[in-house]
Amino acid sequence: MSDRLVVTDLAVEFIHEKYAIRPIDGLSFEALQGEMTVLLGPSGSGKTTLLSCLGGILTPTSGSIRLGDTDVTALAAGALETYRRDNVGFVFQAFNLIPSLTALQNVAIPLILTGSKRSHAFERAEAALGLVGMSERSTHLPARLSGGQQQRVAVARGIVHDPPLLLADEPTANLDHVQAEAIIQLLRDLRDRGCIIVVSTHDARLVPVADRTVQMAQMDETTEPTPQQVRYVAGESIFEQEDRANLVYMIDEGEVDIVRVYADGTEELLTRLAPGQYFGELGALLGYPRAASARAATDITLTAYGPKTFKSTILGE
Amino acid sequence: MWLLTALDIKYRAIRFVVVTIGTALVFTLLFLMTGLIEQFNQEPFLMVEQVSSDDWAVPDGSSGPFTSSQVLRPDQVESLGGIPVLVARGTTDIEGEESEGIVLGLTDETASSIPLAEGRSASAELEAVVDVTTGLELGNTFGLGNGSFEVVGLTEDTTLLAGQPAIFVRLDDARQVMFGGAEVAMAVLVEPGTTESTTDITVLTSEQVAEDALGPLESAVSSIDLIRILLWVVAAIIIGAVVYLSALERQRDFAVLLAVGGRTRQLSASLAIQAVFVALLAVGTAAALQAVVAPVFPLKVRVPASSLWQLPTVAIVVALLAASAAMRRVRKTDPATAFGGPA
Repeated sequence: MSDRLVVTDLAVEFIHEKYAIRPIDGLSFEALQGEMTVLLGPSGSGKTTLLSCLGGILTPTSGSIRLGDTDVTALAAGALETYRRDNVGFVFQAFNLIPSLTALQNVAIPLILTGSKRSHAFERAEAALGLVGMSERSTHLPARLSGGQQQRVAVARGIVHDPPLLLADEPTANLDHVQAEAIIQLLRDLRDRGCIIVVSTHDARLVPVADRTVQMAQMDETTEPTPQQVRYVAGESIFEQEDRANLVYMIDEGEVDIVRVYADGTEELLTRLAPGQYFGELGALLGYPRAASARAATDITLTAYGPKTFKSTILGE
Repeated sequence: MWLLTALDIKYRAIRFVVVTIGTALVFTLLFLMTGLIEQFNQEPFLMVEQVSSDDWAVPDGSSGPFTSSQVLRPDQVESLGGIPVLVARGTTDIEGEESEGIVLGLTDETASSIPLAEGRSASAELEAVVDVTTGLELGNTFGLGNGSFEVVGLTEDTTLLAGQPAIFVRLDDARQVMFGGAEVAMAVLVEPGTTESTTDITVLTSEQVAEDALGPLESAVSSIDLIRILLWVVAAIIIGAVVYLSALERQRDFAVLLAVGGRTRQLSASLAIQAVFVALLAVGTAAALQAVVAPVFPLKVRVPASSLWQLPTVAIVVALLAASAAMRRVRKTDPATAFGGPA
């Protein structure tokens, strides 16, 4: 039995419209058997990317993922399929049930596709549907089920092969609060049965029931730095594209180049800023990585603000 | 995989039915076109075979008795010593309605060897044996040249040049009607191997005569062949479009199935099976439809038995080719796209 999931210094980088994006950069956390870990963060913070890595359908750029004794990041394509089939259950956002299959068939299909006998697959599917309280709706097509019922079927599909790791992507995103509560309770029950559950969400209601919370983006609670003056000589880097953003800069003296760096190493000068202008505010305010690099075009003097201080003193909000 | 395939077809039943009907209509046309070409190809051989399997001596320069108007002079006919045959295209007048036919003037000996569907061979003046496609019946009369002939016998499979019916009359009557009584002939039948070509005479085998009679239809056959190819393309487009659209709609489903343990080849095979299923169902429907439509066709449609297995075989190949774009789509599906918001 896999007793823990260990993520160490994980980074994922991919090319999007010619430039590199790094939604996950140096992430580490642990999740134990019988625990529910909530990945919390806004859209674009890398939650789904992380789930894809944990599920063995996306290979990270660096770092490692271990489930029990298995080094997932070291597995080749064929072994990843086996890992996925034997160890991972998926609950997708928007349920993603196959519309042509009944609830029972939807739950049984992963087993059938991986070579189980049909009778055995349906037996297991019936048991899984029973576990999520959907036995009476087993012959219904997804179109005839409510959102909450569809999500229950999706959970049943995720656990039908009794995986040690269950990954749920925004499981309450399309549900009203009554249905959301029922799904949260269902996930808690599964956790109590010994599953490692990793849930991605931007729904803070899940935090109190989580055993662990992983912040996928810089949040407001980080310590707000005091404004301070900093100096750079011409050509020096102030920050690089994809760096974590926590400061906003106001130019006191000199000029700053804002540069977009592309995956092939080429660079594009987006703008040159002069004294009185500021930069780096969106990443710092939204918790996104830097979208471009900033370099001193001349010898410069800047004032670095924390995002809250910048908002109140410079923007006057 | 079979479960997934069958249930998806059931789920999209209306679309599959519409596509099957559309493809079946295309395949019906293919059956009919194939039947027409078969008829065109067989028609002269059947006709010549029924008249005689001897060699045909024709005037030098004549391409054949059914396609040339060159005649053998009386002295040539006499010196050849065989059985003279007169062939000419004539216009018949059947109850005031004119139509084209192939008039064959035969000796009693030759006429008596022609297989009849009904009646007897022409043995008296102004008697005729005609192909059943003329619509004439025993005892009917019709006009030919300045004579009025009575139908005493009926034949089958004696048409030429895409359905023009044969009209068999006595040699003397034909000479009278067509050449004012001159003792000419288009050909003289001689025993195979007994006569050689000379400067004045060309000797053709019955097979060469039949092949020559097919000549005027070559461009028509080529045109129908071209249409057949276009129909195959249309069938491929119909099947390919529906399978591809289905693959596009099911992109998220495929991603989910790949994520939960399905394999690309299973999903590709599922699409291929759907395409083949549509093609075979359409072929079956078309085979039934052509059996209903063929008899009411103005020309005889002779669907060869071989096409009943050739067409499904080609249909399977076409269906697989048509489904290849959809299968490529599956191969490119990233299981990671199963994550993410509503489609």
